[in-house]
Amino acid sequence: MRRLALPGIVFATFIFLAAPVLIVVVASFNSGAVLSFPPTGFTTRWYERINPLFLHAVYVSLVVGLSTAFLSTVFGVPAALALARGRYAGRDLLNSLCLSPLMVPALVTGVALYQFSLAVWDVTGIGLGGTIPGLVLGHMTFGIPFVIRAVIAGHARFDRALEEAARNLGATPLETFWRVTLPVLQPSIVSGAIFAFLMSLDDVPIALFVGGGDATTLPVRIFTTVEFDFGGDIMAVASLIVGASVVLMLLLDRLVGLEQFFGSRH
Amino acid sequence: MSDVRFEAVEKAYGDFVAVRGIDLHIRPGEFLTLLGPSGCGKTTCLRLVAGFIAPTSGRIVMGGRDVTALPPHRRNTGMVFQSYALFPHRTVAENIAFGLEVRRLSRAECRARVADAVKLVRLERLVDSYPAQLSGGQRQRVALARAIVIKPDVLLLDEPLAALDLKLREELQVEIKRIQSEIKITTLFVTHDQGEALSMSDRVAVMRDGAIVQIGAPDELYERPNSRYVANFVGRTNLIPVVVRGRTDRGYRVASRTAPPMDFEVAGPQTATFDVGEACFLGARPEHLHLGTGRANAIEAEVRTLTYLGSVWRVEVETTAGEMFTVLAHPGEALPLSGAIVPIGWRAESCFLLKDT
Repeated sequence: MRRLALPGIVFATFIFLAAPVLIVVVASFNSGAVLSFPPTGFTTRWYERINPLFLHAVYVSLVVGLSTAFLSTVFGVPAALALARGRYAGRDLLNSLCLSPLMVPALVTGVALYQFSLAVWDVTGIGLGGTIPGLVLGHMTFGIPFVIRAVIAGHARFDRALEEAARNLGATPLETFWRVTLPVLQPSIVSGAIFAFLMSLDDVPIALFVGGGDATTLPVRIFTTVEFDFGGDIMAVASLIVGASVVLMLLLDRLVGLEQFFGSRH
Repeated sequence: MSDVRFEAVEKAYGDFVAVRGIDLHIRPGEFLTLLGPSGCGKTTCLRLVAGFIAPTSGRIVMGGRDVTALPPHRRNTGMVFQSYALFPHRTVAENIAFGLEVRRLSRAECRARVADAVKLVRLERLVDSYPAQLSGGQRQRVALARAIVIKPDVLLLDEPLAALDLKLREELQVEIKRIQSEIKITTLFVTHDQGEALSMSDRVAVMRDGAIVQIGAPDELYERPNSRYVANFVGRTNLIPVVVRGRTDRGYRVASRTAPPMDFEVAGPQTATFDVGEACFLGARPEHLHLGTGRANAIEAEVRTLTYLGSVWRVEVETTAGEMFTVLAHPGEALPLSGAIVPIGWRAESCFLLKDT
């Protein structure tokens, strides 16, 4: 009995976590009425009926996610280094301010960004609302803090003597940054960028307020479809996302190892 | 090979003076050690040469070139750090090649020089390993190879052996010394371990509170320390507070500052002169004290502890004045029992006087 208890707990936890996902996948192949359970027959017609708008939404989500991850890294890494290394008055305050977007509910940020985009329109005539750049700007408000947090955490284990060693061996400050500082911090930077990407992909509130029109992301498209046009094709879309995630995970595990990817490399 | 010269170098952090006006000349090819307790300024001196910090005043001259204002990457020094500071994302070979890469050397020359350096530190089998896969001793060798492969003007060693266990430390002491004399490189070594300093150096500079107290060859420091501080930091010294009574043709006659006073004769090598009536200290090394009488000087003491050290016994005794003395007894000598009162004797030639500093 004892020997079965621990694996039993793990299995029960797994079922609890995976059951909703499995039901969606099963429902996507159900030929009966939407959301009826148990399933009454097998069909692939929901997959054939996926609205092309979803494809465009996937494209928008990927563009916004990758841009958010990239730009958050470009701004977040130097900021994190300045916060982790600088010795100046008000550093702790600055640190808190930089991380504060993570503590504000995304809905509030969404409303604020909407107002901000109106103000920008009034003053400059540049319309941010409903555009991909506007959405990327919105997502960077939490993308940058994610990168900052990951890099500061990684920097705590960074031996400054590494940089001194590089300088001593003849590297200029710039060479030292590219050849030593960045590569050594790379696992933290990558994990920060991945988190920024995932949070961008996952976001609804900000995308609801700032997006829309041509800049409708996948979660918003699903959200509005569920509200106004609920059908089996939603299940099909959801199942495809699950499938894509599983394939991605397997690939990552094969190539670098999941533990290494999400943890530290050294 | 070039020399390194400290000219009135001073380094202050606010009110705290880490290095106070040091003048020091490290000769070409010399192995010079800065020895002192932590916080004495020895590492600051090393970092001043590497260029990680700038002196508050004074100059640092390397091979006749004033480098005081040069940034670290233009000084051509090779430093070995206490934490090794190996690049974790690079293999052993890539670590060693770093300094050559930033010097824009050709691939072929890089490879040849890395191969030479690897051979010199005997790491041929590990060139493709990452630092995380190496033992402490192996990491130290990589750090050493990485520092010397760039043919630096001066090699800087910052307590490179402090993190290693005793056996490995002794092994690497010999190894570093072998490599240093093989490539005849000017070396500045920093340590708080007097054994390391004595066994490896051509000259040792003993430091205290940011200044050099005494500088000289290891045997010079050991046999003729110029102060109580050096006498106690370099080896072990038994001290008796004394007053100078008079001069003899070979040295001094002194008396202990006890009641009643005991008379001693001092004829060992001396770094300073002493006046009649001057209060100072008589010093004698443990290996020069003997159990028993029949020598120029003698005191009585009570045996406290006996420790077997393999080749000798270390006998800790307490004199009637309450000072703890260490005496070495060789196998074959009659050993006293703990608590026994024994005479301790030593020759006039094997003790010296020290100023009261």
